[in-house]
Amino acid sequence: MARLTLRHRLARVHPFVWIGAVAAIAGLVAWPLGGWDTVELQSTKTPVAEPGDLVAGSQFSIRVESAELTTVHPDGFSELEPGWTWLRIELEVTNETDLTEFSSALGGDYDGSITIDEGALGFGSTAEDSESNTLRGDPYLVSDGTYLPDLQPGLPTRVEVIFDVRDDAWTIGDELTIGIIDRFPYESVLGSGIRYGFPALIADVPITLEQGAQATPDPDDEVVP
Amino acid sequence: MRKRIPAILALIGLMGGALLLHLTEPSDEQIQGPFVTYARFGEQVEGRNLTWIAEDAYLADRLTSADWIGETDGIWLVIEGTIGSRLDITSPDVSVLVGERRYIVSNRPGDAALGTSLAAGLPQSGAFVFELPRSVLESAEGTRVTARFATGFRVRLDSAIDMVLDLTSLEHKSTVALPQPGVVTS
Repeated sequence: MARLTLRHRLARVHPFVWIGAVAAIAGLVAWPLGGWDTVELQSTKTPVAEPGDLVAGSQFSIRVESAELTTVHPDGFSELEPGWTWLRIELEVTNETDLTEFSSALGGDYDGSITIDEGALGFGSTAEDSESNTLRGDPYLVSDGTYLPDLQPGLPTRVEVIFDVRDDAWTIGDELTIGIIDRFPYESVLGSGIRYGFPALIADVPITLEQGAQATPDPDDEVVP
Repeated sequence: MRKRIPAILALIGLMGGALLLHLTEPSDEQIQGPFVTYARFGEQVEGRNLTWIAEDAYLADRLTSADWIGETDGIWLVIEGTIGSRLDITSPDVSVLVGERRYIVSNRPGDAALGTSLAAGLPQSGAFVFELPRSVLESAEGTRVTARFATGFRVRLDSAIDMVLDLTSLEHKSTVALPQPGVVTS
């Protein structure tokens, strides 16, 4: 009877035995490290940017400048409902597309380009405003207060996005996380030209909530005892 | 063999003709494209519905009107003229094409600039205002910019009035008070 070599002996081991052996070794390696569930896939981690950093996107490149609670509305006439205040997010937005884009979607719930605290406001949010309507952030141009300013291609534009929020939702000094949502170009099927879709979170920007401008009470509104 | 020569020549001729037809066939864009009329300063041009007389074009760092001050990190392109509608009430769609980029007339000046609806037979004079990045002045594309006056964003089988400008040769002003838009009565 011919003597079996090591190679032949190994070849006779059943494949399931090999798979079991590899799994057992992997388990022994993972045990002192705390288990495989502690290993975070690097490609699924959202990059973190600092306030003032430019987050480059395909549709818009966005720089988060500041976040504050304010009782002064940029339109100069809106008044707060009792128990509500305004969250003001200042952004510098550069339209990277070839066409003028409208800023109306920036603070939107399904079409927005920012999400605050993972969908508490902005993209992915189901929040309602003081009139129980779906809450969308209203964009205004910082330089002259234009409502729904156009975003011209390649021109960095400072925009403030105003959200109605309950006055106990956040306090000054809280850290907000502003997620930047980007969309990607594709050829329009039903229409013509390039459209932007497939929203994806491309960066988180942690930012400290500051005290914004406070409205001075109107003397005529004072209650006379 | 000689009997087949005419048939072979005819086949080659037909194939050549088919190739020529294929190469010269207009694209969908060309078939559905606009009928363009080109405008020059001081001359009235007419499309199917719009009329346009360009009077002046210049660049400005800052614009003002009675109740608006227009600061920009870019540059303002201002095109002054008179625009009218011949057939019906229409909102002119006015944009500037710089290379592949298309800039719609700015909504920032509000009523201080042209761009609102036109009533038939009542032309309005004033200025169209565009906010552009400063980089266009240094680009090759800035030397051949097309301003388009039309009745829709994507013009198909309709007229459009185009005006070609060289931004680098336009006068550059620091602050300009926009002319108040108004109906031309004469």
